[in-house]
This record gives sequence, C-alpha cells and structure tokens, in this order.
Amino acid sequence: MTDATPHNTQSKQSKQSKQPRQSKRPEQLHGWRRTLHRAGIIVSTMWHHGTGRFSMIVLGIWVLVSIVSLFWTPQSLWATDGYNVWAKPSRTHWLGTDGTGADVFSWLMAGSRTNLLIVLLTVIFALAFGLLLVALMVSRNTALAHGSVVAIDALISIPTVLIALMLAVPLGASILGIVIACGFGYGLNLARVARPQALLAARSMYVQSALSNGASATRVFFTHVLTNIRPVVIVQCSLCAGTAVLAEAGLTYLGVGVPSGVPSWGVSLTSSVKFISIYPMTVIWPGLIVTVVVVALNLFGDALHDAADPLSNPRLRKAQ
Amino acid sequence: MSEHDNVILEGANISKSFGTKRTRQQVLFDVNVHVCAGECLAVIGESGSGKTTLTRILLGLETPSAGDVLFSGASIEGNAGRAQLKLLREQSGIVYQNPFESLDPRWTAGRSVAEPLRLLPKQDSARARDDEQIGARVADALELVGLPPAEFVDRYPMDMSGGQAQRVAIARAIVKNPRILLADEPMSAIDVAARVQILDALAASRERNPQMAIVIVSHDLGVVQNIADRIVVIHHGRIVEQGTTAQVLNTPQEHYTKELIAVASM
Repeated sequence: MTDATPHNTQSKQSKQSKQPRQSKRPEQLHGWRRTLHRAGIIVSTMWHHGTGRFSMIVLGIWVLVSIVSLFWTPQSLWATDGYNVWAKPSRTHWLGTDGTGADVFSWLMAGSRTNLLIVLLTVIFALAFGLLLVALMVSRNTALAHGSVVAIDALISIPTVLIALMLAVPLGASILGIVIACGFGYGLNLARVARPQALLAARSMYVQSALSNGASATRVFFTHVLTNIRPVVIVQCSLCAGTAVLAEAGLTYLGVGVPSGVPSWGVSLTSSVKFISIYPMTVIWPGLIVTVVVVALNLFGDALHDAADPLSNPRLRKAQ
Repeated sequence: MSEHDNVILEGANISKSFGTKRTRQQVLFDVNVHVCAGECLAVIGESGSGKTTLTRILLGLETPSAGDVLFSGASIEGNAGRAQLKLLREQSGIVYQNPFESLDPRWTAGRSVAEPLRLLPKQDSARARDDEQIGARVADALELVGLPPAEFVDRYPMDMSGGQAQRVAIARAIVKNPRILLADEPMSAIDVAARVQILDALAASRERNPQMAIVIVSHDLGVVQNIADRIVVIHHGRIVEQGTTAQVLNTPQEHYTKELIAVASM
C-alpha cells in the first residue's frame, strides 16, 4: 500500500493537527509575557553557571524552609528535656539538642525565617536609602550634590555597631534596630559605590536628549540612571544581604540584636557559644549555615549581575 | 510672504561667557542668526569657534549671557519664556556627534526611538495614544532612515555599527515630526562609507517633513554642500560671513572662509 491512500493522508493530517502549536517568537511578545520571557532567560542563564546554580539551590532551600517553619518544625521550640541535653544527632533530634535539651534543627528552621525577614527588610531599607542618596548626589543642583557627597563621606565613618548600640537605647534589642543600623550603613555604602556610574549616566548625551525632549529629572533618574546603575546595585544588594546575616549574628552576640527567645541563627550561636568546649556541634551547625548562606548570597549577586545585564548576557539581547 | 515671516527660530545679539569672574572666557560675541521653516542652515567653523555653543543656545539647552532667542516670534528666555521653551523642546529634535554616547547602552533601538513620543504632553495631537501606535511610528521612523524595523527595533547599540547607531539617533530625533532638527556634527564620528547613509537619512526626513528646519553643525564642507541651503561661518565667536550655500562656497568674501574652503579641498 502506498502512502497516497486516503487513510494515510487522513492520519497524516490528524498527526499534523495534533502537533503542538508553535510558540510565539520573542519579538511578538508584549507586556507581562515579555517580562516573564526575559525573567525566564535570566533564571536559565544563572542555572547554567555552577555558582549561579549553587546559590539558587541554597537560597531556594532557605526560602522554602522559612515558609515551612511557619507551619511545622520537627519538634516544638519550647519542648525542652533536662535529661536529654547535648544529645547527639538521632532520629528524634536530627541535629541533636542544645544545653536546655531543645531540638537544634527546629530552632535553626525557625531561625531561618527571622534571618530571611531581617535580610529582606535590610536590603529594602538600604536600597531605598541608598538610591535616595544617589539621586541627591547626581542632582543638577550643585550645592545639594556636593553637600550630600560630603555628608555621606562623614556619615560612612560611623561604624554600624555604634549605630546599633545607640539605637538599642530607645528600641532595646530588636529586629528593627538591626534593620535600621545595617540598612543605614549599607545604604551609605551603596550610594558611594554607585555614584560614579550614576554620574556617568546622569551627565550623558542620552540623558541630555531625554531632558531636551521634555523629560523630568525624576523620570530620567528612574528610566536612564537606575537602568545603568542596576548591575552595581545588584552586587551591592547581595553584599548587603550577606553582611546583614553576619551582622545579625554579631549584634545578637553583643546583646543589641534579636532578643533571646526569638529564634534566629544569631540566637542559636550566642546561646551555645559558651559551651563550645562541651559540645561544639551546636555552634558548628548555625555557623555552617550562616557561612553557606553568606557565600550563596554573594555568588547570587554576581550571577544575577551577569545574567540580568543585556551588555554582558548575549542571550538576553537576542531574546528581545 | 517675506522671508522674515517664515522665520521659525532666531538668535538676536547673543553673547555667551563661561567661567567665574577671574577665569571668564567669552565664546560668542553679539551673534545674530535665524533659520526659516523648511530651510537647512549649516553652521561651519573650526573647532572651538563657538558653533556648538551657538546651536545649543538656539535650542534652549544653554542660557545666553546676553541676547535673546525667539521661537515662532516669542522669547524662550527667563520666566516669561518658560512656556515657549517647553514648546520648543516639544517641537525639536537633536542628533549628537557620537551615536554610542547619545543612545542609552541598555535600551533597545525601539525604546530609544519611542522615548520622545512618550514624553509628548497628553494634549499634544502628535502624541501616540497607545503602545501599538507608538510601535507603528517607531517602525516608520526606522524605515525612513533605512533600517528595517523588524531587524533593528530590538537591537542594542552595542550590536550596531556607527552608521546604524547614528541613523537610530536620527530616527529618534525625527519620530515626532519636529519643526526643528539640530544635528551637531552628526558625521564626524562616522566612517566615510556610512556618511552617505546619514545624508540619505537626513534627506529622506526632509522629504517627509518639508517644513522642518535643520540646523547642522559641521566642519565638513562636502556634507554642507550636499545638504545646506544657507551657511553661517563662525570664527572666534563671531559670524564672519553668511549667505546661500552657493554664494559662500563659490564666491567667499572673507579670508577665513577662503582658508576653510582651501583646507577642505586639500
């Protein structure tokens, strides 16, 4: 039987009709579909790099554990067992118990959400404060621009710890104190690092062209300046996030960070560091988590910087 | 109708100084210049003669130390001229010397060309109403300067040649059908082969919008001869000669103009 039989033709037609519809070409996409397409390319580019993949896995687990900890932990945080202190890892206590007999794994799980909250709030605060300072520094009002540069150079010399200690007077040991102290310090740092790139963009011909077309200074800042300092800001935000995790541990140890009783990695470290000679594992677990998360945050920033910038990611340029 | 009725932009007794009292340097001395609708005026002179400063003042990008700039017969200077300056900005386009510096490196050509349309005030009749209209006008402008829209609308400046990037800059300047186009040495950063394409792009935009006045700053007399109707020769901040292109280039009166022509023909 030849292929030309009616039956074969019909089956061919039905096969053709069953073929998946061809997806739209990137240039045919608009609005949120286009944004999603670009986001997909950024994620895919990061996934194809070892460091990007590592950071995405670590940060993904962190976020997932934080969410799960809101509903479930292997043991109750307040279930202490005086007869079972410094216990080794077992089926009941996956990472052992601390000096009060509380489950180390449950406390680290619950602590992850506190640290995630601190990191997110600190980055948002630092980003808003830093970008406000960048806007002042590239202002066309020279007195304002020069004044803000001098003010930032003066303020950046104040250590974050000192700010946190001063804030502890009215606020006591609190998450808000960590967020304000770290956000303030990193905001200043972000502004100082982003300033040269922002100045280049603000004084460029394309900004002049936009201004001559009637664009306002605010519009120019949000459309041209921010777009061109985005790579620097991404890296600074990732550094800020990493150092916020470290600062939480440090400030909590000094007694001006997360109050005792609230689960956090810093609290876990602080409560067990005195007993490092008795049972080092309770210190090693939170220390290890803090180290891995800080490394992942830094690598995530670098990977995102490369993937999200059309100048360094040819896939993003071709995908337009 | 006399020529004066047709004047769209006029600089009257313009002087400009830069620097503080101690380091004051005057770059323009009592300059009078005008451009009519549909006319192409070339401002020529050596580097540092003040031609770019003059054109920037004419387009309201710099404030003169003395004198006045009139757009459609009304001053653009001071508080009283603010509304007229806004109108001038809405109705003018600029092409800069270096296309790679004048286009945002992180914006696609389509986004750059669309920017002037998005900045038009809501009540402006030339304003495109939605993304589809903007897209159509961007494609039209790119087509006009000889760049296939399908190929270039989503391309970044780093993936273009100098000539292509400059034509995108021209498309951005003409997309809103301006009444005045300022081209500040648009060919000096472009290789010779691409200059023809730039000239073609400017000629096409004139053909499309015959009432558009062009002010072109250049020291390339070949380019000027090709496109300009009238020439203003500027030397050390003063206009030394002006007239039609044929008059100035064929029968120059001033020694400086003769020197410029002699150097250009070498």
